[in-house]
Order: sequence, then C-alpha cells, then structure tokens
Amino acid sequence: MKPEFEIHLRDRFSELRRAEHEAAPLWSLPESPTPSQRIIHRDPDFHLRWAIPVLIVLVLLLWIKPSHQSLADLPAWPEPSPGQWFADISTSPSTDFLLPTHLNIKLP
Amino acid sequence: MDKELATNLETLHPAAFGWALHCCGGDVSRAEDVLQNAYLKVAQERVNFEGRATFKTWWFGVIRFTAHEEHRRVRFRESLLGRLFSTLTEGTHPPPSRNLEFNERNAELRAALAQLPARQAEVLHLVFYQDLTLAEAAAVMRVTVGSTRQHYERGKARMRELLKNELYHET
Repeated sequence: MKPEFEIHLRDRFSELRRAEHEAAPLWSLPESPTPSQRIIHRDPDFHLRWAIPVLIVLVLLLWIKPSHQSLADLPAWPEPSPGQWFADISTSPSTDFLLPTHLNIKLP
Repeated sequence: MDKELATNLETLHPAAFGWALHCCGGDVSRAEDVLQNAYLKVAQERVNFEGRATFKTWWFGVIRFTAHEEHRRVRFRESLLGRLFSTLTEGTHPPPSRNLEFNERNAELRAALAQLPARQAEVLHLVFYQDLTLAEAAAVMRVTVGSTRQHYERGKARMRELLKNELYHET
C-alpha cells in the first residue's frame, strides 16, 4: 500500500473528525445516584426481558402437564404371565462357536 | 466520582462522541444515548478503570460494549415480540434516528466506511480518526494484534477501491 494513500485517508478522517467534534453535545456527566436511587434506576426493558421467558415456561408447563382424564382414556396395561417374558437358559443351544477361538472359555 | 477520572472523561468527550457515533452507524440520537449510558456506568461504578490498558483504550472499550448492548435492545424492540410487548406495556420509546448533515466529502467517506465489514471499519476509524496504534485498536476491539492488522490491511485496500474515483479526480 502506498503511504500517500494513507496520508490521504488520514486527511479525510481528520476532516470528518472536525465536523463530528463540532457537533458533539455539551459535556455533562450524570450524577452518581444514592444507593436507594440505584435500585429505582433500571433498564426500562429489565422486567420485560424476564417476563418473556417466564411466560414461555409457564405456557409450556401448562401445555405439557398431563390431565387425569387423558390417563384414564389409555388402554389397560397387559398383565404378564410369569415365565413367558424370559428365555429358558437350560434349553437354549450354546452360541460359543460364534466367538473367536481365544475367547472360548473352557470350564473344568 | 474521582476528580481525575472526570477530567479524563471530559478531555476525551469529543473523541468519545465520535467513537459512539461510529458504533451507532452515524445515528446521533443513539450515539448520545450510548455515551450517556456509558457515563452512567462510570458514575454508578459499574465499570472501573484498573490501569491494565491506557485510559482511552479502556473507555473506548466501555463505549463499544454499551453500543452493542443498545444495539441488542433496539433489535429486540424492533422484533415482533418486542413490538407486541410495547403495545401491551407503556414502554419508553427511543427517540427517532437522526444523522449529522455532512458536506459531500465527509458523506462520501461515511458511505464508504458503511460498505466495509464492521471490524475493518472499526480498525480504520480507531487508527485514522482516533490516532490509536494497532495494538491499542486491538485492545478496544478485543481481538489479537495479528487479526487487527489483517482487518486494517484489508480495510485500507477496500477503501482504496471505494475512493478510487475521487483519487483520480484529485491527481
């Protein structure tokens, strides 16, 4: 990059700076408020920003909460008969042959 | 407030206004709000200068952060949800946007800066307008010096393209 462009750019920015500094508002520093005032002074959107998520969560909770009526409408849970749900170990054939040879445990 | 701090802030006031104006895209009303909010932060001791950087760098960082907060607030107000809530509640309405009236050359420079990516425009403003070094600009922007240098070089090259016609006229 040629330095003459930098000089040109610097001139242009200093022109802009002069114009903007002239338009700057008068210097005024806000007074430091007392502790009681600090509580009162809040961002105007402070409550709003908290209200929205709380409202969304409440709506979701009310929506998701199951009603007793809908539970009663469900079909009856099937009663399991004992012994039916588990495989019988004694009758099932051995599947040791599916394992690699070095993993086959030989019991004495 | 500490007298020395107040004096420093007063000295930097015009430069701080220029920086706030840049951070707010040239909107005077928003820049004034941002600057007042930043002053309020200092007055309420919500931000403290600890001497880890130069005062100007620290103060410009505070203004930049405050401008980003304001930007997020404006975006929320403009969103559908924000507009719905503002109709339901008596929220404070921001003042209408107001831009400075520049001469042709300054307006052209502002327009060229507006076409640059935000980081490139920021670094050019900090270096050429505020006379900061690249390291100081990096501290304000909270990026590394290497990254700042890249933004600076790319920004300068882009500005050269954008102001090319005018350079030809002048030479």
